Amino acid sequence: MKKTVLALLLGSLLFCFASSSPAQQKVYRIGSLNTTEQFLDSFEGFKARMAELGYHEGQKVRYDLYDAKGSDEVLNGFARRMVQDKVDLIVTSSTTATVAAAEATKGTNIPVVFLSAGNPQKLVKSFAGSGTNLAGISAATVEITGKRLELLRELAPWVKHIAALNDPGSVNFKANLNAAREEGKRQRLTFWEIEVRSREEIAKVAPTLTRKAVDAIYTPPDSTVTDSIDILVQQAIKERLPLMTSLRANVMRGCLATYAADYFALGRQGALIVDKIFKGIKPSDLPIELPSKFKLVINLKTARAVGLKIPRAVLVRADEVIE
Amino acid sequence: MDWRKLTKLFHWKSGSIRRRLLTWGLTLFGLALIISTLAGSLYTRRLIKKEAAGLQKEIALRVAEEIEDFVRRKVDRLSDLAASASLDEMGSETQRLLALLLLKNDQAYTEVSILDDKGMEVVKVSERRVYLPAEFSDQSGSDKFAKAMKGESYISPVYTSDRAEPYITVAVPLKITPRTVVGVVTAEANLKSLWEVIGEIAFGRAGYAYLVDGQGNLIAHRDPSLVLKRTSLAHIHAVQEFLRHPSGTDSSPAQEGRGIINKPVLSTFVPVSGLGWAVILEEPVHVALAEVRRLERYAVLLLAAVLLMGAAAIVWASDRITKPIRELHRGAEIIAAGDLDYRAQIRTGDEIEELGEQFNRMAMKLKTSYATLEQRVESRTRELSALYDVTATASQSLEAEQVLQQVIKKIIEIFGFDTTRIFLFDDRRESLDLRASFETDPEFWMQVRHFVRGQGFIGRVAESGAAVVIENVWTDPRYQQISHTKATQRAGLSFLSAFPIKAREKTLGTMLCQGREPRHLAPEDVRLLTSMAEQIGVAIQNANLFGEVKQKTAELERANQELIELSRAKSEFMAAMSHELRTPLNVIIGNADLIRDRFFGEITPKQRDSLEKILRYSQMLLKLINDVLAMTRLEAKKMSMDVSTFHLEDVVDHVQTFAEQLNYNHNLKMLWEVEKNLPPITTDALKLEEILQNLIGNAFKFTLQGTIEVRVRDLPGKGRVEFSVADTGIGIEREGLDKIFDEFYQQKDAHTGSHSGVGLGLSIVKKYLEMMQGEIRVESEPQKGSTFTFTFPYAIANAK
Repeated sequence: MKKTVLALLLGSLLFCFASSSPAQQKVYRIGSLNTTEQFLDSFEGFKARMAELGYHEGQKVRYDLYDAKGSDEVLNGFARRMVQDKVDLIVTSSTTATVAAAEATKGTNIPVVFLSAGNPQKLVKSFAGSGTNLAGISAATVEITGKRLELLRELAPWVKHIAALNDPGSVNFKANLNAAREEGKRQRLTFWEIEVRSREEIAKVAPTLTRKAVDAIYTPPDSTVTDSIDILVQQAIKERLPLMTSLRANVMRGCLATYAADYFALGRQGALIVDKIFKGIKPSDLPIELPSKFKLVINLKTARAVGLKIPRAVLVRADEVIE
Repeated sequence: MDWRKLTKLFHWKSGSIRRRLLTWGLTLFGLALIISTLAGSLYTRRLIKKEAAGLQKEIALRVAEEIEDFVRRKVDRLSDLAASASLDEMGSETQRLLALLLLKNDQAYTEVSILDDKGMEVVKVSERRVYLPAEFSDQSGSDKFAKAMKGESYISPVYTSDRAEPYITVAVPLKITPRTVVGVVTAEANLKSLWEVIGEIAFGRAGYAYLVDGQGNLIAHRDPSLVLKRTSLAHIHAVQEFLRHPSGTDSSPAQEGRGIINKPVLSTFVPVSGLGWAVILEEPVHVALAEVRRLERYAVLLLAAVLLMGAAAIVWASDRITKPIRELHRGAEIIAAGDLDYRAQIRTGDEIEELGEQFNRMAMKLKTSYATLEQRVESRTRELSALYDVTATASQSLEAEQVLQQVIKKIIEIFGFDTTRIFLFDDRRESLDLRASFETDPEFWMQVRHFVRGQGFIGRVAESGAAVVIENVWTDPRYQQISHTKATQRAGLSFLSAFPIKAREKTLGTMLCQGREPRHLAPEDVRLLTSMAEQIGVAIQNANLFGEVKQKTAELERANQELIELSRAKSEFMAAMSHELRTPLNVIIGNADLIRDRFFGEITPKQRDSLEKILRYSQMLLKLINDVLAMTRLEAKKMSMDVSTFHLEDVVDHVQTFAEQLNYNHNLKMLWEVEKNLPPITTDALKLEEILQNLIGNAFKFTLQGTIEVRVRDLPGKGRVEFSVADTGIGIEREGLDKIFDEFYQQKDAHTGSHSGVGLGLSIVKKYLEMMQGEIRVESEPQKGSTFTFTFPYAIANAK
């Protein structure tokens, strides 16, 4: 009786003290895997939105940034290192980087969030959910190929034959090719499909892109081509050819125009996905999201350089005009 | 702190006051605190739920308004487009541009179409794909067209596209005048921003919101996977309430029930007017009431602390109460151990001190009672000791005079009387004579030696059987009345007492005790002297009986001696007679035998018959004489054992010859069953043969027809052999079985015919077997036959 009473009282005290001890705050470690610096806009947008959501860098989250600068080998090495470092989550900003991260995290439960994947169908089971450790946003770059071609026709209605450059080693090579072919057929356009694997090859092929050969140049979302876009811009201006691209950053570097997702906005959108994952939702259960907004960006300087007058109907729709 | 003292304070045994106080005190204390804690907890719980209800309702209303506003803005935007487009030709580039501008300026819209009054798409633009005129379709059969053509706005149910995002289709009429509808503007609006709105709602510590449509299907939740699974939430409490009252408000917000996470939640719903949707807010109960839990834990802590303090207070108080009680208990133990001088020292100034005083008084009385009791016990012990001494003295001898003298001596020793005298009745019980005495003046008392029955104190007491005690003969008038001789006074004595001497309710005499000084005899002294007088009576009676027994014994001894002499003379006579009878009888038998065998010449058949009769009856007579002789020798213990070791087969052979002679006329069938390999036997072979001859002879004697069977078998387990002689003769009556082995016992009809005899055969058999350490038994049934079975050991015990 005596022992029971004392044990109950002491037990109650211990229970009360034990249950009122505070929990320690976790600092998340996020690895960012990038193929080229062209995609870094999305990561910047991601960090900004994360901070707004309360994930302040150094306090609640720590970022490890890896830029492979176009090298697939380096990219895969970075991906493996992040897994060895046991990061809490990996964010990527291209389909190529996402493929590398997905491969490296196989057999682990490290979530991979792609902030912009041009062709997510390659990575996930369906848009309703990846079924794996992947989640993210489709940049829909392949999907809106038709919109870009339509824009090109609006800017230069005479265009019928277009030079399209593509890296056959790219993960989206076939998808880009098929999308261009399909939309070309619908919009009565023909393509000169040029396969390039390096800057050297691009430099070699660039002089052949003349006004006599083609009516315009089109660059799909491709890392190899994007890395050497300056060569193509120079050739386009020289030959006064409209150059339609798939990245806002390329327009900034001299391409005529693009219709594409805002990568900074995609990064912000991706932060919400990461927040959900940190709050306990499985990546496999999250739908693949689409960009909230596509931007029509026109470089008026380039337009003037190639002797093109931008129609008013296009100009009023432009989200960004570079002068 | 003295730890031992502290532990002693908490030490109690089962059923103690301290334990009871602690049990009841803590129980009542605990119950009161638990009730108060529960009441506080319930009150706080209700308060929190009330606050949660207010908060949830407020947030839900705000969110519902936001959603409603969102949709309304979408409709307004589209209506603005319709108004602008109405100024241009249907399907014109301007209309297309206006549609594209809407896509640019409103992120929610992803696709816009303009339908003509036939329902045919004339403009169709999308933010993601290109629609060529050839791909325009007829929408005349759609709900959106039908409703918008009536001049009303249309909002479709929520659906998800192939890209897993929620959409609604909005359609508004395209009017050129307020009443003239020339077409419809329709657009697809992405509701993902609503997901964001809903997903970002967080209240309390874990509150969240979601949106359901008019069928209870989930259309927005922070976990989009639930929406994409097209989850039906019609089973959830708050959704059920909404479906029951689609346009009403939640009458009991923050109700407890199962939520979307299948755990108890506090939930509230608010309908989104005009859309048939509802915003549901939920907060897990365990989170919402976490504060209550924390308070409950503190309450438990407080409860434990108060109980600890209460326990300490009760222990302290109970110690104050029980300490004097324990002192009393200790006192009781000391007194029980024999220390009757112990007094409890209790100075509490309350009822317990009174109890202590009472206890001390009780101890004092106990001491007094104990002392009195001891005196009584001592007195009684002395009495018993005295009585024992007298009894022991009385039983030491059976000589009456000697006993009486010794008893008087003891009485004088015990009581210190000056004179003690014992008078006993004479044989005729007419007078009492002095039989023993102790006197200080024997010469005087020589004159007073006889009393007539009823005369004086001696005679009266002997007659009445009642004791008389006169403390002072000089003052007691009874003395003058009763005394015949006045000898007491004359001897100068003052005290006189007389006690009857009794045995078996019969007065045998009187014991007189006298003293020089007047004396008071206590009742226990009177009782003791009466008992002593009774013991004297017993001793006298025993002495008398002893005398009688002694006399009778002497007479019996004499008679016995005479009988022994007579028996010996009889035996000697019988032995001599038998011997003397046998000698001439042998001569008769021998001569008759010679004559029958024609030793002295031929004889006639009649002579032969007569000789046969002479021989048969002579043999019988010889047998009788032999039996009598044998019995006589047995009784005179002159029969000895002639022990030898022999084989039973030899004895059986002799007996078979004897049996054949008896069965000379072959009237009976004689059967022999003798076991093979019987062991050699060490006993008297002749007596065994005689036993068998006796039994077989009897069998022939009592069997007229049938069989006689003799069996011999070994009993190796017992170390004995067994013989049995069975016949089919007349048998023995049940009452005769017990006497069959008695001397001279004969069955009825045994004196007639061939059954004649003196009844000694079986008696001799039994006696022989006793000598051979054997046993015999008989089984018989009248008119069916008898079986005599006897056993004896392989070797008699003293055979060596």
